[in-house]
Amino acid sequence: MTKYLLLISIGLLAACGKKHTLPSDYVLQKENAKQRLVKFIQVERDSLQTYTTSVAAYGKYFSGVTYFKNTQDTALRVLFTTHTGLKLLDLKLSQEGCNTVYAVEQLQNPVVLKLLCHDFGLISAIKDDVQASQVFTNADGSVIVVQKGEKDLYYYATSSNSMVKVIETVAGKRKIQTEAYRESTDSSLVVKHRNFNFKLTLKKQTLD
Amino acid sequence: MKTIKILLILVCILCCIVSLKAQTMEKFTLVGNPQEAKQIFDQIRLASNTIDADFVQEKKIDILENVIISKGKFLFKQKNSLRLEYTSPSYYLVVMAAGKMLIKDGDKKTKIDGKGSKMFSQIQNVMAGLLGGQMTDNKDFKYELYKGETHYKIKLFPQTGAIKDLLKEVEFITNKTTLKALSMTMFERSGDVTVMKFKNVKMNTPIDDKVFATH
Repeated sequence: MTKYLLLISIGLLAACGKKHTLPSDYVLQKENAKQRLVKFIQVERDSLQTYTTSVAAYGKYFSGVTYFKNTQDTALRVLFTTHTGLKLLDLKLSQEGCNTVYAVEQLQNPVVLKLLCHDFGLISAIKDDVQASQVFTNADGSVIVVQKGEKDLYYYATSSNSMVKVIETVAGKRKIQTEAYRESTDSSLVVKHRNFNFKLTLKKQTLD
Repeated sequence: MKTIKILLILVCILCCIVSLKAQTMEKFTLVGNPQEAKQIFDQIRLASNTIDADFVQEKKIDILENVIISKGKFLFKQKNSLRLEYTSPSYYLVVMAAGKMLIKDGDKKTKIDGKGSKMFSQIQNVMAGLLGGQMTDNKDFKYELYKGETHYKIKLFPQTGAIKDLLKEVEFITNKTTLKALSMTMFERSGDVTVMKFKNVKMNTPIDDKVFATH
């Protein structure tokens, strides 16, 4: 339910352009402040987290296991393998960006790799806190507005279990819309894109 | 009493280490004669009308400095029926039979008709080659067969398709006397290694065809 409220909120916000008109229960909390985005996957230094994973991309479907390991204070290693153990993808995420260490031939598509980097970076909030121009909150969560130079406005609608990200160009055209949320039924973490036929689903494993 | 218990545990551990060491230290010689290789593959085929085994899969990932353990059940029936069922840490099922394939991944079921799939036919070729005695005629894989004092070692080198892109080599170890499969090791081109160790292996015991249903 929260996910849909946040979706509606950000829809209204983005539709209203720079007026930032939100439902009346949203209150402006901060301006020009550093703001932390929701961190769906938090990996302690040297610990390993394991997720059953599926990637549906442009009619192709990959399933397997993703391993997240915080190899340094500022870097996260993301390894996606098949269930039988074959490595499909190896990413290194850091504050400087995303580096593809290895990708199996079927995943060597620049758009797919960019989306995987974006999505894993988004859910693990590997980058620094964002510099928010405005932060609005209500009982369901926050809407964070980030001005990136003259061209782009980023909107993040966040709660503890969901986040919607919208990038709007100066002409008011939405470039990307990403939703990351936990399924209430089985606590799977889902990342979906409005503009791309791309869906990433992760479910935490409990190792023996 | 406590000291004896500890001593017994230590002796057991030592025995295991010595046994494992003996297996890894075993000297293997290449079987260069195609006729002899064919005879050995025929022996394996006759001993493997069905295989029923548990497995423990260990994936060594250097950069993660961890060994990832998965467990499950392996079933095989001549000719070309395979069921690989992962039960831990998550459920995942692959069934291949009669040219079709079923993948069950959580709630998602995927059915594949193998007729148009190169990867599918390659996996079937490996099964037919290794367990069906047709290794010497296989175009998708080059093989090397080695014999040691107590084991056979079969090395497969993929020659075509997606498997060649992923895997550098696959190595099988079987017991020379019982012909029971002991392990399968996959060496990836990326440098990672996955070992599947077979336990409670039962050969030529009846397996119901229902377990290989792909619908």
